[in-house]
Amino acid sequence: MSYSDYGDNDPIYGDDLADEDRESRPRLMLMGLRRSGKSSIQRVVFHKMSPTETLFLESTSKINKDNIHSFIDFQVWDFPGQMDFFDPTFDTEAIFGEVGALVFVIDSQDDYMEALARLHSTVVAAYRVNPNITFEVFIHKVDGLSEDYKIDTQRDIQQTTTDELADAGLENVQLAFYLTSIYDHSIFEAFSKVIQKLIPQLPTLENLLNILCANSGIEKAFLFDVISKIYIATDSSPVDSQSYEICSDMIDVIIDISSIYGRAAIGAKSQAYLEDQDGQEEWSRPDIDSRSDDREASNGDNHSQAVATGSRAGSLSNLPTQTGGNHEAFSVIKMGNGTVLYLREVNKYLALICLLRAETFEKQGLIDYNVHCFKEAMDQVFELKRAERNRREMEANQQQQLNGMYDP
Amino acid sequence: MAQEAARTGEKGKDQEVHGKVAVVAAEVVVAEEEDVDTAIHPGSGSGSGLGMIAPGMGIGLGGLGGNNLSSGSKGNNNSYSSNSNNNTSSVSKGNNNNYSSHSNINTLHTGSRAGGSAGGAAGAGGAGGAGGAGVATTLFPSEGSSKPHNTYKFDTNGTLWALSASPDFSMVAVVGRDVLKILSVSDNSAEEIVNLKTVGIRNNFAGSMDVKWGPTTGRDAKIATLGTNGPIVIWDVGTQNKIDRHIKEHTRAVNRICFSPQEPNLLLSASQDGTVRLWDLRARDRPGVVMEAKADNVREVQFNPMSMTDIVAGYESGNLQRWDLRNASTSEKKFMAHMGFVTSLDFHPSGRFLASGGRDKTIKVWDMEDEKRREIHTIPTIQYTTKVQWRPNKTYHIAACFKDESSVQVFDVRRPYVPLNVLSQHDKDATAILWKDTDVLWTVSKDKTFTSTHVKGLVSAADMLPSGNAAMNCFGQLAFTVGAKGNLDTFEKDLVLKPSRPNARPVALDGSSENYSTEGGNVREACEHNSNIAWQANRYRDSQTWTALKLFYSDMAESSVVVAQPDTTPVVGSESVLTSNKTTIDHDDDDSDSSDTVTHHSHMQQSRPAIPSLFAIKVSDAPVKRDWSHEDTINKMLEFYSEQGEVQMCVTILLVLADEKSLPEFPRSQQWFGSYIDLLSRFKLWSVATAVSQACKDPSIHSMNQDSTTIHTSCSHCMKPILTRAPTSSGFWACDRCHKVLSSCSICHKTVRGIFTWCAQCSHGFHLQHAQEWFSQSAECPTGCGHQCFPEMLKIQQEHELLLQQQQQQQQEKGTDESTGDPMHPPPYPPRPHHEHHSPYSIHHSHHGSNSVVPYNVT
Repeated sequence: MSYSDYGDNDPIYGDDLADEDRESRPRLMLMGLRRSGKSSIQRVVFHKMSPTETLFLESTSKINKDNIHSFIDFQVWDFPGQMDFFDPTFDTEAIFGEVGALVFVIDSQDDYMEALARLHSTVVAAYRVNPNITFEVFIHKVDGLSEDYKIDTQRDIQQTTTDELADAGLENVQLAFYLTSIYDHSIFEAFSKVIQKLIPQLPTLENLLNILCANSGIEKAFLFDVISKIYIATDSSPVDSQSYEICSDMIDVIIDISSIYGRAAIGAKSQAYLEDQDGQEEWSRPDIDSRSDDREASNGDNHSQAVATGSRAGSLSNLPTQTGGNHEAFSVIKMGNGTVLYLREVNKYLALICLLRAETFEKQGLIDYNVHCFKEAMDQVFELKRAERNRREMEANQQQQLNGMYDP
Repeated sequence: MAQEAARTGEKGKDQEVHGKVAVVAAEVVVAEEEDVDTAIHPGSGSGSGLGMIAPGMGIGLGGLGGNNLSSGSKGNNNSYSSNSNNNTSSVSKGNNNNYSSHSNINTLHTGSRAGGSAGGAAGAGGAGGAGGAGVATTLFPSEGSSKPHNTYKFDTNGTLWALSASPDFSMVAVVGRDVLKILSVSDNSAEEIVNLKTVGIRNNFAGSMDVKWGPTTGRDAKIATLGTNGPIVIWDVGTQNKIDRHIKEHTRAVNRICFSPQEPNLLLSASQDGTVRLWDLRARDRPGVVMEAKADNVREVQFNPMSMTDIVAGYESGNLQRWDLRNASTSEKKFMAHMGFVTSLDFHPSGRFLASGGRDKTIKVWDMEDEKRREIHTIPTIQYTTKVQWRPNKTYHIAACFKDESSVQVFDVRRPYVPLNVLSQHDKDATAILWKDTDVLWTVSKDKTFTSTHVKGLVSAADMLPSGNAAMNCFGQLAFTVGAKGNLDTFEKDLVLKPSRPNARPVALDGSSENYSTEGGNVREACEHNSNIAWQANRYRDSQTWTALKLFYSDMAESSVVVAQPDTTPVVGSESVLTSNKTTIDHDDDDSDSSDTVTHHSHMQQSRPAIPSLFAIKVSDAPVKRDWSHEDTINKMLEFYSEQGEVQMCVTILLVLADEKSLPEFPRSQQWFGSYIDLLSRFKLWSVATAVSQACKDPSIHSMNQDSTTIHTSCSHCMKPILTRAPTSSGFWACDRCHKVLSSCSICHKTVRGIFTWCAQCSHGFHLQHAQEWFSQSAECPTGCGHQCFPEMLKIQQEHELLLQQQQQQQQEKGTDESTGDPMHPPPYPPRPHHEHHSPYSIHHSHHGSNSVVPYNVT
């Protein structure tokens, strides 16, 4: 159910994969005062913990590193709140050197002046070490605040921090502020935006989605990371919370249904739910990722499951499904207000979810074709990425060989 | 403008009044400032006429369209070139050949189709257009028609996303998915003159998200469109319809473009890549000036119409940033405007105010010259706005269209909750709006139509609302609005605040409840006492009630005293009663009469004197108690008070009359007692509460304070509770925590055996004897903790001192003269006002400042 299930210790992936990626993996750091909700955020977003359960989380005592394998591989570092990072014995270079994004969590229900002072010192120190860090400030636990109070709080925090940073001569440091709560989708949306900044292909993906939307009459399209329900790209029209929420809920529905109906054939394993998640993840085309070939082979029966999932989910909405022989999950949900939700698996981790009007959906064949084109384009984008990596690996190997040659 | 400002000032003042009296003011009509032009009023004249004709003419109109086609397009071409001067008209004619071939075909196409649909639309307008302005679709304007503006639609055969008008508003560019057209627009119709789609397709055209018409006209006319697939395209439409330039420097999608209103060649673009770029269209090779907000997508950008260099950009994070074009490195001002992204911006024509719409479903108006970074108006909307625009020549009006919403709304910013007009011309989401002039609003929609709406003729949504309302606050003040369907300011003036009755603040319980006599012994005295108390507390009704009770249950000798008051009416009353008495008919009738007068206090003053005189006569020879009962009256009275929530009266009446044998059982008495005791406890009048529960005969109430009799004690040193469980090693003698002896006398510091007394507040204890000695001298705690353990003692001391001082003074002044009257003890109550007092319940009577409670002496 969570990333850690097939994290470093997962026999399927094996350690070598993790090691291989370690250098290039961007780091995402969760910082903030103690009891501000860092671990809760990490658990809810990446480990699918129910928000109510986070009440019982112990306070974090050491840096908790969490490897996330997904569309992009990254590492989430959960810092203990009471830690003093700027102790001279602490290696700031090592901490901030490779950080992609620094997420600073502020408890909005508390007096946040101390948190702001901490934020300031953190930003100043981190910026000195690594000016490329993107700073994200989560004004957290806003579920308890009224609408008016929310905006006042954000305004106050934003104004204070930017003024302070300007005083410190760091006008160019850009902080992004988000109002978040683990009890609704806001934390996922905020994380989506944080992650998006770490994705180098974002403009390309966005452009592809724009073209797809324009040509297919789609109102809104999201490219979702299925497990975390973070969207890694969307078209450039503004994202309103309802459309995000409904798409996110759709993923839940599909996963739930597949876990009920997609189970029967495998049946034997005791950890049914987790395994089924695995099956869900196996929504992949063999040619996307050659590294998972052995996995495909070993879990070959999962593919039929994924297809079954697709057809079942499709049949839920009383629509014919078009699984058409390729191993893709696919689902259509028609809603009462004339909106159609259209989900299609893109690759192992990603699903495309589109919101469109029912009358547009009459030309479903056209949309299917366009989505197919979109997927091909996506494949090419990632082909490029993999080629790039392969090239780098080869260079590294050559370097190694050269080194070996010069070694005595 | 100044007048408007004055009006807002007035409004502000009145709102202050609102705030003060906590009044829920009604929504009151804001009417148009101008007189309504009857010629274009809906339902009268042309509007409905067209709607009526259309059903019959539907087919004919379509046919006519086909016939008139060539002349129609010709006419429009004329109007097109008439904008430029004669010299250029020949040029444009020459160029006509370039595009007229396909444009004519397109015109034919849309013309016939639109003609067909025109009949249908007009038919629908006629059928369903009751009350509203009929939808008149006239595609082909007759030459020289001088009819006023009408609402009409033009079908463009494609989903529309944006529109922009040429500077003289004779043409409008509409774009959308698959659409890129220029329409010629007149007062009553629109016609397609140029279709750029075919040109666009050759250049990888895939729909346009936004379009802006440059401020130039004639040969230099340019429009800029925003392709869904990326680039900004500059079209040259003045002379020939060709693409002038592609701008592709943005790394991500562009969200908005904006021409400078003053410098025709300057174009701004706001992009997802976090930059606002400024392009000079003359310098083709030069990259744009970049204004970058790192990591924040730009959603909107707008030029200040009154400035060359001032721009404002709206960001995905909800920020607004003001930039000076001369300094592109940093923004001049940055503030948070919305929660979530900013979707739309529009500068007020004055250049000072800015309206912004955001994801938080509000339109906010900002004063850009103000340093406060606070919005001056907020309009909550049904969905987030996709476009806002100020209405020309109306300082406070703003139009907005919304995401997923077919209607367009016009608001007055001063009156945020109810839109002035709701334009529901479209079947699907309205996507963009543009004011042609003060009264004509152009809209485009996903239902593929371009619509021109005459706003002035529409029924105002605000007019539909009930215009009168009233509300009362807890002080009995009433505010109401008079729904004059006139101007805003007349409404403001008509807002009346009138206290309708004297401030009837409830008597503070600590005033009267402590002083109400509840002794059952002497009913008459108790009633009189209570009546006085109530009178002093301005509780005239209660006072009257007590008087009535006194009359009911007191001896007749007392009644005769009352009768002694000179009055004329009693004579008549007594006469009649006398006669009835003599004839001994219907004794009960009189009785019920008198009881009525008691319950209905308002009639009291007229008929009241009859009562004492009746008693006097009846009783004069035989002082016996009345043989008629008052049960019914008492019952009604108690019911009345309990309805009013006055448990205090109910309970005190019950207690005073506790010994009356004739009193029936009141089923709710237990309830009254319960809530009264509860109330007293809340006012911390513990002893009164105890006294009340003691006096009550109801066993459940009476035994109430016998229920919980456990006293929890705490250590007097560390204030921690002393646990009452099994004695610890130190037993109860010492505190478990601080290990100090618990019950030591604060005066002799020895352990107290026997009776231990202590102050409940500072928790210092003493031997009883020591305490008595100490507190007969001092009010303060002997430990020196500063607590006044015996405030009564203090009071007595002070009084004593004062008395001594005064005596000394008097002795000094008058020597031997002994004062008989005690200055410290004035008569307990001021003389009772005459009970013929003009009714205190009268509406005209004003007791504005008299709501303070008269302090009582403790009796």
